Amino acid sequence: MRTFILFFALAVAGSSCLRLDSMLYNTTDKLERYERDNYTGEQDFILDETYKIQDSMIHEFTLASQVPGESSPTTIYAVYLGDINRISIDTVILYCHGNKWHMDFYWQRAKLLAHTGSKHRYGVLMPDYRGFGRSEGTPTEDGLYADVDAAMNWLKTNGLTNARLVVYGFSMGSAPAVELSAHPRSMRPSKIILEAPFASAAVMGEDGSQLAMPGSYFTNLKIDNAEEIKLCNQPLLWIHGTGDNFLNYTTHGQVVFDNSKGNPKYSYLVSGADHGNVPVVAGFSTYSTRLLEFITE
Amino acid sequence: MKWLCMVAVAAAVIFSQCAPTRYVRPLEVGQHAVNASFGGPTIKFGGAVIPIPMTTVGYGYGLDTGFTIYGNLHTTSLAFGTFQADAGACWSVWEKDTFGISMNFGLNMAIDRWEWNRKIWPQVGFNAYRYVGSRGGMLYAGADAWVEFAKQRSHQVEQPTKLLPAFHVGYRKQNEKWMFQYEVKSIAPFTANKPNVVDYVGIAGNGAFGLYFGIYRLF
Repeated sequence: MRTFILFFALAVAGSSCLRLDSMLYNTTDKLERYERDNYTGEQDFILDETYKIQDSMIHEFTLASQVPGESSPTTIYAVYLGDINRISIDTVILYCHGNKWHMDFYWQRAKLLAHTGSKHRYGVLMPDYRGFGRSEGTPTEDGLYADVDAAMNWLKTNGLTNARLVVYGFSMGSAPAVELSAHPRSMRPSKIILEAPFASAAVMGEDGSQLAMPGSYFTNLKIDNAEEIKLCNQPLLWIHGTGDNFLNYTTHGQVVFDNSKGNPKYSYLVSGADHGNVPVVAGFSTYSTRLLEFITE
Repeated sequence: MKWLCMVAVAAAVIFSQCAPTRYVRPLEVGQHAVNASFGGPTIKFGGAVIPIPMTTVGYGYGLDTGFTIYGNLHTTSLAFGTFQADAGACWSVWEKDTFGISMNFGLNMAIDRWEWNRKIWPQVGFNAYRYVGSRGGMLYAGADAWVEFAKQRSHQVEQPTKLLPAFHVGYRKQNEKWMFQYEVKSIAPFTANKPNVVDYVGIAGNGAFGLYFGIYRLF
């Protein structure tokens, strides 16, 4: 027994501290500029000219984002689609994008949201998290939350009130959307839209191994939407493709939805849609109409 | 996300089925062996198919006639700060001329240094083998299964998988001092491998193929 204890102690003491945390972020080389409609890289879908955003309605700027305890802020980029002067009187959608590359990849989605209901109907703010796109720094879970909070703080500074803030989290973006709804910092969103949300990093591991394996065996990330959502009583709209081959809608999205205390809460399951093509499979008009119903009810 | 996340997760979460069959046939009485293994389930990675590089080192001892005990440390897991080990025994059930059947019983144990989460998964399996050629070659085939006792997984959700089975075929070549082992597994062949963040290579959308190599030094 003593030998085993000694062996165990030596093994643990000698074990490395490799973690997958940083590898889970899907960033690219830093961008020199955002291309938006001129972006020719891979995208989930491309909207036609009717969804074009007037140049005067596109505002690119930087934000200072600081994780509590950090010695200095990190400069991140964001884009606002809409009339900044109307932020103080109109509803705004804060779009927390997924884990792929940068804002250019999600530009079409932001445009689609801006046209929810009618042309240029809603202002949409989309930040690029630290380490993504042109934003400085390296991604961390705490950084995600700080970056989205910096975006909320910008909206607040421009006159937005909690009652007119709708947060939309797609895939990994569901993490800051839920976290900041459960533990508000600068603002408390009045409504939450989650598209293809994670349940947690632990479920990701469990799905991969088929065993009830603790997430701590491979990552210190939590992305614990399934637990944090219990603290959110804001109205919730959960959107998920039933054919999502990346984040299982039953093991991830359904768990988040079931745990939500949202009042009311709605599920919008798009039959056959995969992880990145819900608006396409649903149809842009149908998708937008469902969002509009939720936002305006 | 996609491939980067997928590979990262796959590389770490496939603690199960992360090694070939430990002992197809028990060691001789009093015989010692130290061993290392490499390989794991295969995934699609940047257009190629690769085995997840799981590694283990271990020791075995021929305790009695037809009965060998062994233990292994999972070094890839250890690199992630998770102490994972397996310990078990190989028992010769029947052997005649060039044929034989053996069984393996083992416990897979893991504990991490971050949150001190502990898990144990029993493992049971069998092998049928036949010596081939005159130079210590052996072909074998068998099955094994990990047993999941947990009734619930994260967030109080029912744990759907109670048994994680695998079927394998392999070839072993042995001389007085060394033994080399090559094995192919079909892991969880009855379970759909999608949706999943990991892009496993399986059969008809089920499970994953595993490729393994083992080397033993005999004393």
